Amino acid sequence: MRALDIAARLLVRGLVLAAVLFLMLPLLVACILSFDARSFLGPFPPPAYSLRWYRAFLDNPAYMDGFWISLQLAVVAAALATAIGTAAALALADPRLRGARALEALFLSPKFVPTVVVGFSLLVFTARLGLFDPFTRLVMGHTIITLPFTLRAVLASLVGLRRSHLEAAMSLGATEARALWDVAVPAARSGIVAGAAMAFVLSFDEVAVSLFLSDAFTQTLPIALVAEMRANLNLTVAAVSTVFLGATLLLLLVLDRTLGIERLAGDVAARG
Amino acid sequence: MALRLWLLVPALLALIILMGGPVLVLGLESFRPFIPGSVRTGEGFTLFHYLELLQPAYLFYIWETFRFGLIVATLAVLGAAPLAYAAVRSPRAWVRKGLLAMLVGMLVMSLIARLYAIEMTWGSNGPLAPLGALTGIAPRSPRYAEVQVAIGLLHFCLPVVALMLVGTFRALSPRLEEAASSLGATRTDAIVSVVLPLAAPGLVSGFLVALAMCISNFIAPLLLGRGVVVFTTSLMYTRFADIGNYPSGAAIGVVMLVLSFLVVYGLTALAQRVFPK
Amino acid sequence: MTLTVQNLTRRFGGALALDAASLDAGPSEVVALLGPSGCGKTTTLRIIAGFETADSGSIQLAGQDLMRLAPHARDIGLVFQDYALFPHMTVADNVGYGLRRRGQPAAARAARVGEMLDLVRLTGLEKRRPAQLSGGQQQRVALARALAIAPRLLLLDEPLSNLDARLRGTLQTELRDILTRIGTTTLIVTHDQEEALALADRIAIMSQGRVLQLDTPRMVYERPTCRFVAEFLGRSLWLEGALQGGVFVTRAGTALPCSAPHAPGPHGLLLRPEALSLREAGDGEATLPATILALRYHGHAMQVELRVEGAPLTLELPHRETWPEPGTAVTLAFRPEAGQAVAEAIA
Repeated sequence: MRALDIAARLLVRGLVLAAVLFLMLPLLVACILSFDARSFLGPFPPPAYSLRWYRAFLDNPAYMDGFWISLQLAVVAAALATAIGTAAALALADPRLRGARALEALFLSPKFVPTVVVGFSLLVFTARLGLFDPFTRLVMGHTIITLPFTLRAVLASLVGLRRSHLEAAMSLGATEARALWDVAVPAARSGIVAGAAMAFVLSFDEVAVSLFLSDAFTQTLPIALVAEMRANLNLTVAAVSTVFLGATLLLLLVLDRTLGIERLAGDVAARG
Repeated sequence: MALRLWLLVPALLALIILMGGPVLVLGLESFRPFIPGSVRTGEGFTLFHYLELLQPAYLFYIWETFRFGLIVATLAVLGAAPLAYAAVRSPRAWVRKGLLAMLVGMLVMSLIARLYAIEMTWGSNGPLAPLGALTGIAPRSPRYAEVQVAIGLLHFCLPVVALMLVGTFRALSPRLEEAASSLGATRTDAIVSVVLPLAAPGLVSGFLVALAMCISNFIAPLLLGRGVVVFTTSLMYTRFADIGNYPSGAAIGVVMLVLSFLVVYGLTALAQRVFPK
Repeated sequence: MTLTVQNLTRRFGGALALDAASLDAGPSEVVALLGPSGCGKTTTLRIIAGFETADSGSIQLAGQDLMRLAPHARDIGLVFQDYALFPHMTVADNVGYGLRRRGQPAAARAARVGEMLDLVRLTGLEKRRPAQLSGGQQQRVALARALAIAPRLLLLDEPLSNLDARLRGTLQTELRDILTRIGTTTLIVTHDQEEALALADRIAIMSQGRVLQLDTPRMVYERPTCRFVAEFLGRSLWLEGALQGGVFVTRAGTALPCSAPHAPGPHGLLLRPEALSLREAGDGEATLPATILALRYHGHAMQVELRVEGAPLTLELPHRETWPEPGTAVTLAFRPEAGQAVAEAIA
């Protein structure tokens, strides 16, 4: 049935195109609107262009403060999650460890807890403990939600490490700790970096947890954005969107040069 | 061996202090009575907040959450499969690279920015409003929020499912399709009779992941829902933020947690029965 | 350094992996642990290296109790079956790793690394990564790495099994040369008899967790202590029966001359194929009746399948003008010294 085949293939091509447009068009529209000269949100397309919204973004202290907080938070949370996740992955990769599967499932479980629940429960918990510093609470929340990702990433990259490598190092005079440092950690290098990067991005973009754990003076950028937009929706968010888009494109370029996009996507797919 | 056990301690501590403890406290909190107008919760034990959820209004919210989840998850898999297939099997390198770059980029791209971009694009002022109107709901009407939330959730899930399916399709040897075509199957035949059955476990996994992502998503109904679309997640937030009713929020949280685990583990177990790997 | 292993016992779950296994190796001696998979040879090696524990028994190296030392303190060189080269380090860094752990300064390390690479004939490959090396080269780096620390004992786990047949031959000779030159006491685990015969000064035949015989290759082949050893090495004809007086009487009732047995218990008669000739008996020779089953032409020789007293036997015989037809009854002749009464099993 050649005709059916051709029709089906056209349909699929159409679907792919539709999917691509579906994903990309909103970003494109936001990009164009970010240069809109009007002071309100009017019908598309914009009649005139200006940089006012970018200025609005940069001039707004709430956004700038938010950016800083988000950056610091992401760095700290990613560092913590990477350290804890790497240590746990090194332990789980040992074939002698009994119940490694169960432990792995346990450590990955935060992934299945809705972030709203994480945020709210941490709020209640820290209040009970008398811990009110918002940045600490945010670090706690962001660390636990990114931990499954760093753990998975490092564990995946340790797959190629064989017990014999560590035993070889030990037979040559390294204690077990030294062997892990000399042999296992370098083997996991790509996973550690990928995990840290994922944790950073996740933390930067995280809303639900931050919403519960921020306060009026310590807001992450997403929170500042949501707060301002809920009060008064304007095109500053389009400017922010375009800036993020630019940063993402840059990141993709760098990743392609260093790792190659196809391989990276394969890694991402494997690490889920 | 002892060293390895020590290496587990930080993660165990993190889990206990950052998740175990909080969830436990959440559970305890959910049984306390709420004193309106006061931040403090009352003493005592009550099942009121849970019983309250059995009212039709609240059951409706739970149903709404699942309804969106099921619809969007299905759409996500339907859209992601061709994308992933093209990203893996397209003979043109620029197509493969471009698609993969787009998918990875979407993962990294801020969801809030994307949601507002969707509002601007599909909203009544946006260029795709006429397309949105094809759903039968006028872009200007309050109910249109449903369309926007659905689109927002789809935008959220699609790249994730697509990347998962990239992994699934990569694992299938191209030789299988070649063998099918050498035996006389058209491309479509080959895909339907060989690729799809083998990819089925991956497709099911993708569906489940999308479903879990949708029902626990909070920001899409919050930003685009306009009060019309209420998920259990945003309900939880409004309980806490607008009313200050911690115990009720806690009860909703506990219910959400249980539902979320049931969906993921329960459906996964079911799927493994149907598709023994 | 002298290695003494005594009564090593190890259980895994319900199964006995090692059953009071004992062996020893003298200074500069190469001992092969030879046996089928599951016999316990690898477990023995790993216990000596320190990566497994024994339930009971002792291991002494140069008089020092080894079992109380952690693996990294045992000063034992180990060459793994999969080579286990550190993938992220260069060849030079791999070989020098043990020296670095011992705190040797860079200059001394570089000199020693160069010396070792010379020994295994890989000079010039210092900067390469393991992934860029062939199997044979990786094996040599693994050896150089283990020897760089001048260990008291060298352990090799199936050193040549991952290499293709042609490479194996050349590397066997090289390995033997290196081992002789270095002079370190060496233990080689292998399932390949050819390898054991070629490399070892003495061979320990293991089966089911026990060392059945520890002796020179010649003695193990020519004077096996039990049936397993006899049948494991080379080809053999084993005849059931019993010793009566000084003669072995087979089940079928044939009386054959034999040597005195080493051990008590039920015995069998061992005859090596090379001792048998397909002809009538000459002066002072003994004979065995046999039936020809099949003949296969192999160019340089004829492979003759026979049945001898119910047992199968394959002989490779040189060219002759005419061969008996399959089904014919023939006689096999052999010198009386060739027949050995060997115990079925050792207690």
